[in-house]
Amino acid sequence: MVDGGSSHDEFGPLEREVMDAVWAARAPVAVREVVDRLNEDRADPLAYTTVMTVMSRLAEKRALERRKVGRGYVYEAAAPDAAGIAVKELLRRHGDVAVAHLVDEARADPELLDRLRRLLEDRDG
Amino acid sequence: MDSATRNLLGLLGVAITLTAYVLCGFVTYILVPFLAVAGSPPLAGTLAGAAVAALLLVAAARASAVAREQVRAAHLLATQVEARGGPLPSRLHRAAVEMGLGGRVELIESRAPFSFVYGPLEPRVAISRGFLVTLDPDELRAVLAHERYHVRKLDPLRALVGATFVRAFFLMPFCAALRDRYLKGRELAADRAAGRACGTRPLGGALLKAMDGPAWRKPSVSAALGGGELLAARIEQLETGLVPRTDASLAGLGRSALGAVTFTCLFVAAIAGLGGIGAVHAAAAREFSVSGTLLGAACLAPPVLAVALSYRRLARRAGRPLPIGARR
Repeated sequence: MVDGGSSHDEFGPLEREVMDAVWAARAPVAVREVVDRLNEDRADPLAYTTVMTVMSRLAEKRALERRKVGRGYVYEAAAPDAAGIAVKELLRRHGDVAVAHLVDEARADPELLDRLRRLLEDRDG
Repeated sequence: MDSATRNLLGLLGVAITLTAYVLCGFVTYILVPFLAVAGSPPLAGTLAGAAVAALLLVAAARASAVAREQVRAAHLLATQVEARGGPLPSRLHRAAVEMGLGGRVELIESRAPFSFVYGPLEPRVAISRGFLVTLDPDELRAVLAHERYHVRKLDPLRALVGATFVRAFFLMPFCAALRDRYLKGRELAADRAAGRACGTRPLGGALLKAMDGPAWRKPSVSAALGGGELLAARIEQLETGLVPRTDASLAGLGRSALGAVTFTCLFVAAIAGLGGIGAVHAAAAREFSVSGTLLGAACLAPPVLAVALSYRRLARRAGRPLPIGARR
């Protein structure tokens, strides 16, 4: 277990293993990398298609983000741990029940972040 | 059922009562003449009246569904915060007390950087440990000052009521645009309040830490408003110190006007088609008096007063710290 803690009861056992492998990678990963990582210490190796199905399901649950790179997909965790995923998913689905704008917004525009950094540098200077 | 839920249900009950008053117009001028008419009712008036009834039923069903969904979601969110919560570190506890939020701040054990205000009737602030550890003391005070504004203005409750009305008034998409503009305005106002209390530098620093970070942070939640547009407005306000302009959508306004005109025309057509006010007088066997009409209108006063007093009481309570361990 690298990240995420062990309390993410919204995941099944294999989903939890996959999430742990993705968190451990700390970078976008392809299905093959996750399969290799999961099979490292496993006597009965998991099939590629099994892991792919689990990762697709996790993407549908928005625990993983999927994007196309070249001819395949890479996946990354939507948050660094299960608590983050659970809370953010709740806020995403029911945005009206909380006022949540000090949350990392969807794909913040790098140009906006640069403006903010410049502003802070000006204030510091 | 806890007291917050009871209060919320009470408030919704009052809102439903108000809606019932609106429906009185439908009953008095459409339904009563329709039922009282001797022989078969006029076809055109009947069709228009049926269309109005259908629209009102759809609006009521949508509002009721969204209100139920929001109450359930608020409960789920509070449960999640409780389940994922941890004891407050002393620096967070001290800062919360200093900012007048004693008993209203919860820590979520997550490395994701976020904070938010939740709880429609007893608003509280949730802040993640991942966010807390990145903030220096001034930035933490700025975050709490920002969230304190939302707490004191009962913004989760206002957002919930807004969502309910937006869903009910589906014929007028401009309501959704107005609601979004209102929420955006609240966010900018919370930033201004935090800027006044702590300065723009700490607020900007906290905002950057919530938005920026390793790659895994970025593909993430989209909150109620479009992130990019709101973030741009917030940065502009920090840069200039002025409130950014928000332009109304003319297309939305046009569609809403069309929706309102359509509904009004249907209503008027139904009333006229079923005999108008004369048919109501005939059904009631007497004419309306001015005093009777005024007395009827005055019946609106108690529920309006009840809503105003309930809101005032909630807002006063939101301005006070809570005892540690107070029930949600």
